[in-house]
This record gives sequence, C-alpha cells and structure tokens, in this order.
Amino acid sequence: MSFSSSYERFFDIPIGPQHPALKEPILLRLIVEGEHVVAADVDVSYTHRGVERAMQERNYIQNIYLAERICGICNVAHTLCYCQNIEGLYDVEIPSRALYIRVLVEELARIHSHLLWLGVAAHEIGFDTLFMYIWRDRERVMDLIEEITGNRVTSAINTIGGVRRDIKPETCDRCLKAMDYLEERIKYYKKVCEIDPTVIARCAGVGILKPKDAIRLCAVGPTLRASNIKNDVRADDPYAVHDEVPFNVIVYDTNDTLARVLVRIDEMLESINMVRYCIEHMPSGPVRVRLKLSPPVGEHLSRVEAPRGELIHYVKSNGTEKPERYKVRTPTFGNIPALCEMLTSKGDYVVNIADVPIAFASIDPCLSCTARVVMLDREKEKLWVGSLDRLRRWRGWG
Amino acid sequence: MNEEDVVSRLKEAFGDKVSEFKTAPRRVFFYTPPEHYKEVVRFLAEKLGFVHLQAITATDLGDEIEVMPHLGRGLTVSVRTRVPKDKPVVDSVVDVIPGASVHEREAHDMLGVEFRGNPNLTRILLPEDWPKGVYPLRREAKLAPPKPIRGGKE
Amino acid sequence: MAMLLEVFKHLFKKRATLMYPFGDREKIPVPEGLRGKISFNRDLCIGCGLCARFCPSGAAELVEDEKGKRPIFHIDRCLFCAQCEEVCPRKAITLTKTFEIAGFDRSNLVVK
Repeated sequence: MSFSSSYERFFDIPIGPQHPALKEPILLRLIVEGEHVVAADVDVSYTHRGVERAMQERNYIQNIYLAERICGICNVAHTLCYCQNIEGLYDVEIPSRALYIRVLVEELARIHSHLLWLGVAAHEIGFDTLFMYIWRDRERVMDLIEEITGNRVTSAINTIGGVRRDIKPETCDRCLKAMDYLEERIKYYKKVCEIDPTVIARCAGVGILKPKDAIRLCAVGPTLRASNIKNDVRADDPYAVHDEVPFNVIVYDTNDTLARVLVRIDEMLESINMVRYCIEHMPSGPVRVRLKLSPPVGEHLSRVEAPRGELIHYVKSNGTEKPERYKVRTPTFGNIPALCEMLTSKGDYVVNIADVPIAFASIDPCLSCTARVVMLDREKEKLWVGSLDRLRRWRGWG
Repeated sequence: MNEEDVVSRLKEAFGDKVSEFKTAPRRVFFYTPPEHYKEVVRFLAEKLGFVHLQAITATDLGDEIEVMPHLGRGLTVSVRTRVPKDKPVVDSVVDVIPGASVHEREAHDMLGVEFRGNPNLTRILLPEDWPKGVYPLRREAKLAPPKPIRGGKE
Repeated sequence: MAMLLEVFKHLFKKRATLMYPFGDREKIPVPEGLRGKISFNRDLCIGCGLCARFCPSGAAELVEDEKGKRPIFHIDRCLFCAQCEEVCPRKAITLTKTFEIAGFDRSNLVVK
C-alpha cells in the first residue's frame, strides 16, 4: 500500500491488521476526505486456517472438536450446529432432556458472548469502567459453564446423539441464583447505556444501517434486528426445543450502534428467562443416544442462531466415516458487506474516523470464525466503493 | 409459504427446467441447469421473496462442480446447478442479491468457479502469492501432512 | 456519570480478582468434573487404540511396550475434550482436575 501525498484530496488510512483499537486481525482500508470516511474496504484474510478442508480429512467424532474450534466464543453454537447436522443425516430422535441441556448451555453461552461484547464495546468507546464491571459479572456465567460442562470456554458438551454430561440438581440451583444476580446487573447496565452521556454520544447515530440495506446486503443476527427487521433463526426455523421455550425477538428501530447495544442487552434478558424456563421444565430421561460412526449417504443443512447471528453448516456425506464436503458460513462473514455499508459516509450521514472502531465492533466481529476478504462494489454518486485499485483508477493514479 | 408451495410455484413457473426436488422440514433442494440458474434465483428473490442469501456451497463432484446457493430466512431453498470442471462458469447473482458477492468470491477462491457478471471476482481467502490454478477444496488438491511437533526440548 | 454511585459503592467492597499465582492459589474454584491433565492407568489398558483413533489433535500416540500396545499422551497437543475418556472401554483414562501444566520442557508433558 502506498501512502498518499499531502496534496491529495483523499487519503488512504490503513487500520490493522494489528491495531490497538481493533481486537481482531482485520485490515480496514479507509479512504478519507478530511475527517470523513468516504469508502471502506475490509481485508479479513489474516486468520484463514482451512477448516473446511481439514474437516474432510477427519472423522465425524474428531470434527466435533474441530467445529468447536472454529470460534472460541460461539463454540456452543458451532458444535450444536454440527451435531444437528450429522443427526439430520441419521434421522434419529434426540432425547428431549438432551435438547433442553443444549438450549440451556447455548443461552448461557449467548449471555457470556453478549457480556463480552458489551465490555469490548465499552472499551472501544473509552469507557473502561463499564468494561471492568461487565467483565467481572461475566465471570459468573463462565463459572456456570465450567461447572456444567467442565471447561470455561470450550464446552465440548454437544455430541452426535445428545449431550455428553447430564446437569446436576445442585448446579441448577446455583444457575438460578446466578440468573437472579445477572438479571439485576444487566438491567442496571441497560439503564447505564440508556442514560449515560458517554455511551449516547459515542453510539447514537453511529454506524447506521438502514433496513433496506440490511436486507439487500444479507445482514444477520443482532445487526439485522437493530435495523428493525424481525428475524431470528430460533423463531423462524426452530431447532432443538426452541419451539417450546418461549422468547421474544428483540428489534430496535434506530438502526445505529446504540440500537445494537440495546438489542444485545435485551437478548440477554430474554436468554435469562429461557435459562430459567429450561431448568424448570427440564424433562427427565436419558441425555444421549448412541449412533454408528458412519452416517448414511445424504446431505443436510443446519442453521443455528449463534450469538453473532445466523450460522449455517452444510454437510454432504458419502457413507464413510469422513464427510465428503463440509461447509461453514459464519455470521461475521455475512455481516461484512453491511459493515462496509455502515462505514461509508453518504448524504448527510457522515462517519468520522473516531467512529470507526465502535462501528466496526458493533457487528461483533469474530474473524477467527472465518477469514475472508470482502469488497463491495456498487455505484454511488460516481464514486466506486470497491477495491483499492479501482478507486485509484478512478482517481487517475493509473 | 411451506415447502410444497415453493415446489409447486417453481414447477409451475419453470416446468421441466427444474428437477430433482428433495424436501425436508423447512428445506427444499432442487436442480436447475446452469443456463437457467440466474433466472430461477431471480424468480425466487423477486417473486417468492427469498431475498436473503445464506451461503453458496460449492462442491467438487469429480467431473463437475456443484454450485448451490441457500436462500431464505425461515424456509431454506437450495438451488443446485452443476458446471463442468474444466470450464466452471455460471452466471453471477450479484445484481439480484448484492450480498452474494462475498459468497461468490469465496467459491471462486476455493474451487475456481467463475461467476460471469461479478465485477470484482478477485482472490479473497488465499494469500496473494498462492499459485494460480490450485484450488484447495478441489479433489486433486493434496494436503501436506502436518509436521509432528513431538519430543523433548526443541 | 450514571456509574458514579456504583463506583463509590465498590470502594468499600472486597476485591473481585484473586492474586493468583502469588497467593490465593487455594481459593481458585475448581468444580467437580473439570477436564484437566490426563491420567492413565496402564494396568487397565488393553491396547485397543480407540483413544488414538478418536483423538482430534493427535495427542494420543499408540506405542509398543513390554505388555503390548498402549497409548502415550502428549499433553502439549491435548485439547482437554475428554473424548479418550469417553471412548475408553476399560476406563483406563481419566481427566484429573490438575490445570497447572505449563512448563519449559516438552518431555515433561508426556503422560505414560
């Protein structure tokens, strides 16, 4: 990348891939005019690991743990999606206690992920006090996950045919107690985010994604719901026992970063209620059915609402103990076109350079999930938002 | 709209251009030849409202490459088409669904599928110095075995 | 501003963090069923090799000793997923609650 001379009207500002403001290995190439970002280009290819190919070389049991390591934070969503996918090939009935435990752990992981994100967002806007308090409370969820599954982060609870551990009654009691504590704390954080001038000044009106654009660019998850589109895989395409566990799909209509903050906070409150419901209504019975190692020939597509949005796994099996094709589409990947959109000033909506970290963080990026580069290509007031080379040509750099 | 409605609407609109229907709860899979692929995706997006593109799965089948976009929010419709491996060209759907761009570039990078009409089909996943014509998810691509890191002090 | 009261309240509360590893070592909550370092009982092992077959990271390696086939475990490659514990037909493998396994020498990280 060449540096702009000071006589240019537009400047290139590369941010990342290693940058104190962004916690993920991403390269944001911003074209700025004065203080305003006029074009954004994202390069996310720094952590590509070839997971899809690696899955074709391992057997179905080993792949559970590989799928778990696609993403550390949403590992429960990945294993859940993987296991549902393989179970779909067998066409078996999974014991309902196992499904309840799956939903319970999934929702705990969602609370943990959203609290983590909320802390990171507070850090991005320079509000480190809030960050510290949130992360202290997050430890309660981590302890619960550790107690239920045996590890703080990589839970390894889901397996093909059910779950690997049953939940003990005393753990349920502790879980309910922790939920009461967390509900109070999260309501408090909601109040803070609604009235605190720091949060409002840094988040309101920043990173706007209009509903039309969110649909057009295939945004997913809380990013989409903050643009006032009622869409949640748990409601639209219920898996596990989500058709039994009641919850509300949270939407906000201000389309900005503050809406994304509030969507996630309200989702945590919903998750707390779902955890309570799961514990109170958990049926008894076995937690696992044993299945043969090699599933029958076939294909299956499984969808899960991960904390960051819709997660897609597709498997094609050929009857052996290794999958023929395994495809993973992670939520961050689906949100990156929307990210480019919200980083681009147009009309009277302007993006300042100082808003870039929080706008970027507002999609809850997780680049270890999947590493892909994205360039948007569309025409707007004669300015091509696209690859840097294209922009250079337009600017007459040859 | 349920699975049967989608299937009957597609059969009604395209007749024998669509085949190999396979349905599961909230899933529809079907085949269409590459020359009608874009038409079918446009029909699904504009007439039936499947505007959300979840992913594009490309698979190496040996002699052919299967390109399969998954569309929809509640109900997922997967349109599969197959192109020959020595000339894997299929129409791009970027002008119908702008969010498809990233998925097409991924398929292009990993399996070498050409999407005709995608204005920005460049390398995305692989490093810039990756050899031309080597596609990691094709069958002929061989993985180097991982180097063992075992033993005492190193 | 909204947090000022909260911050003052916390001046009089006890510390949320532990001084690990310089004290408070025993205060670390280690729940029952934590997946830590592998322990292996040679007398129970029948050398079926299932642990090596299903180990996702290749941490279990099948070797020959005087009594026949047996696995050795390279903890530096271990993921602590407990899949080997789950598939072992004789319960020869268990995951203990030991979690402090960092070291300077790889050869110390082999469980025989």
